[in-house]
Parts: sequence; C-alpha cells; structure tokens
Amino acid sequence: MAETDHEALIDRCRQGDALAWEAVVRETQSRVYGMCLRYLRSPEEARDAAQEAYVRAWARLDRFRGADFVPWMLRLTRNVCIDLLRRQQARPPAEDVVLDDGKIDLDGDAEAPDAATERSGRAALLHRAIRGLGKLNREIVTLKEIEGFSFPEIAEMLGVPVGTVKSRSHRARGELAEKLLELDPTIEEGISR
Amino acid sequence: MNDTFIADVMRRTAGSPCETARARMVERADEPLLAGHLEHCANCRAFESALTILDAELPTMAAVDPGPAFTAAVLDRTVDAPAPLPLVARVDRAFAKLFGVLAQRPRLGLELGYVGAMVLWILFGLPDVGKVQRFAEASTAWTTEGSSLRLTMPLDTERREIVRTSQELGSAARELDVVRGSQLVGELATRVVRLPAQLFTDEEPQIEATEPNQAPSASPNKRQAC
Repeated sequence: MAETDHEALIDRCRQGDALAWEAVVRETQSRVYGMCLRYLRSPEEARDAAQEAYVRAWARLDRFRGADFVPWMLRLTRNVCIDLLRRQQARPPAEDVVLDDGKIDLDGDAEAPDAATERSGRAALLHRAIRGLGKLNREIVTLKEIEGFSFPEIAEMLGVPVGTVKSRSHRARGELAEKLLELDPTIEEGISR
Repeated sequence: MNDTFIADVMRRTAGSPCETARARMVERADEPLLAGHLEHCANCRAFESALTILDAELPTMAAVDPGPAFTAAVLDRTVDAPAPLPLVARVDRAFAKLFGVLAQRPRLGLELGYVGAMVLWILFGLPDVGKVQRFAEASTAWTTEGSSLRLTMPLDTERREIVRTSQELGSAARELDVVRGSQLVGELATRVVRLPAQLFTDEEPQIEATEPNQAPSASPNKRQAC
C-alpha cells in the first residue's frame, strides 16, 4: 500500500471509520504479531500484546504524525512488549514455546510442501542462532535485519549512539552467520544447489 | 600446494586475510579483491553463504500470521468497543473494583487498623510522655498545711519549673474529662486526684516560698504567687 493511501486511511480512521481501521489492522497485523512473538515467545501472550498495541494505537491515532504508519505502530508494539516483559519479571516465566517446533507458520504465502519444509527448517535454525546472541545484539539484529528499521531509528529506540548500533549490527551479523554455520555446516551446499 | 604457499606467506607477513575479508563481508562492502580470496578460501565461502541466507531469510521472518480471529478481536476492542462511561460511573466502577480486590486480602483488618492508627496519629499526635512525667513529679512536690500549699523542695530554678508545671497540671486536670480514656494519662489522673483543690481552680495557686538551703517555713503569711 502506498504512503498516500496510508495517510488517507489513517485520516479516515481518525474520523472513526471502522472499515478503514479494519484495512489498517489487516495490513499490519502480521508484522505486529511477529514482533510480539519474537519478544514474548508465547503465541498467547503475543496475541494479547498485539491486541493491546492496536488498542493503544486506536486511542492515540490523533498523536500519529508522519507518512509511514508501520514504523510508528511497531515502535508502539515494542513498548507494549517491553512493558509486559517488565511486569513478567516479578512473576514466574510463562510456558516457553519453542518457535522452531513447526507449529508457527513463519511464511504466509502458500508454497510447495518441500520448499515450505526447507524454509521452515532454515527459519528454525535462524531462530536458534538468534537466540544464541547477546541481548543487545539480538535486539539490534531483530530491529535492523527483520523489522527493517534504520540505524538512527534503532539508536533512538534503544537509547544508544548510532555508531554503536552500526558497529554492533555488523558484529552481530557476523556472529549470526558463524552460529548458523556451527548449527548446520552443510548450509553452503543448500545455497549452491 | 599453491594455497599452502600463500597461507605461509600471509602468516609470515600481513597475517590471515580471512578476518579482514569477513569484516568487509558483514559491512556489505563491495570489494573486488574479496572475490579472489573467496575463490581460494572454503571457510570464507561458507561464511558468505551464511550471510546470503541471513539476507534472504531474516526479512521474511518479520510477518507471522496471528490467526483468523485476530482482526475481529482487535476490532471488538477498538471500533466496536462500547462508548466510554461517564466520569462518575467510571470512578464508581473503579471504587467497586478496588473494594472487591481489597476485600479479598487476608490482612485487610490489620491494614485498616494500621491506616486508622496512622490517621489518628496524624490528626491528634502522640501524647507528650515527657509532660506526663513532669506532671507526676509536680504532683508529689506539694503538701498541704491548713488551707495553704507548701513545696516540699527548696526554692531554686527547679522549684519555679515545678510551680509552672503545677499550673499546667491544674489546666490538664480540668481537661481530663476529655482525655480520660487515654491510658497514658491514667497515671496523671491518679496523682491529680491527690492534689489539693486549689490547683484545680482558675486562680493561681498560693505558694509559700522557701529559700534555698532552708527548711520550709511554717508561716502562712509568706506567700508568693507565681
């Protein structure tokens, strides 16, 4: 959806247009839910957090300024997840759902079964490799490589200098590649095939 | 043979090129010399493959389908949510909810007692224990002789203090009806009852003065008002 379409949709949402809001939710929900799942790792909690993020966004639509709704929504979603994680620190952790158990459909589009299996297997490897990173590097990789935020945006979100984010991002990318090779040394063959 | 030779030379000169090559690769640097290194270094080729996979796969992990009921659930909580209640009703509901939560607390009685004690303390303050002790001392410092009062201690600065405290004691005794329930003034009340009636009038007590280091005089004419 083009930026101007987004702006027009959000304008209609501000006027209480339910259809416009439904379109916005349908278009952005997989990104929002994906981010919640990466932070919270429990599908149930991720669903609740994603809903909470939309409720907050709906209440704060008047404050949204700018053309691109998705980064604003994702920033808001991250704040909801961090609030939840802070609250969880005071109580025992929720059931640890493994992302690589095949229950979570990591790609929405239908594919040939073999290709889908291979992709989900690779995604599982990636999840394991990401989990092996340090906290800050993991978040930087998630925000940069998965969510697609720019270095200045990540620096603002994490409260660290842009240079730090840049160098950490490069280091984390290298570390991730090495972990991937450790987990599956034959990965190169998969690429050359 | 050739690769071994180059590796030996690099080891004895500039060091391993793999580290530099990998640093360039993670920065996505477009380095023509990299291709030459990759052609001969299997480890760095594997590293490059892993980076290629990261570049291809990570962005696809951004979107995860939350399930078919998700949109409806969000709409239920946003556009389809009932209109907010008026302020009074919201406050009323919040109090009812708070009371419900509080009533389930096992220590509610203790907590209410604590809060009540704190409120009483803030409103009325703690009884002045030092004052009670001074009153007790003052009440034992007097003896009666006919209709006059006599201090049982020599005349000095402490005695003046005793006299002043005795006047306060008279005022306090008149207020005892108000504070009779307090355990802390129980001792005081006992002693006040023993004091002569003159102390409980509005008039200043008639005090027979005695000089320091002198036995108390029996003369009723030598009186002093404090």
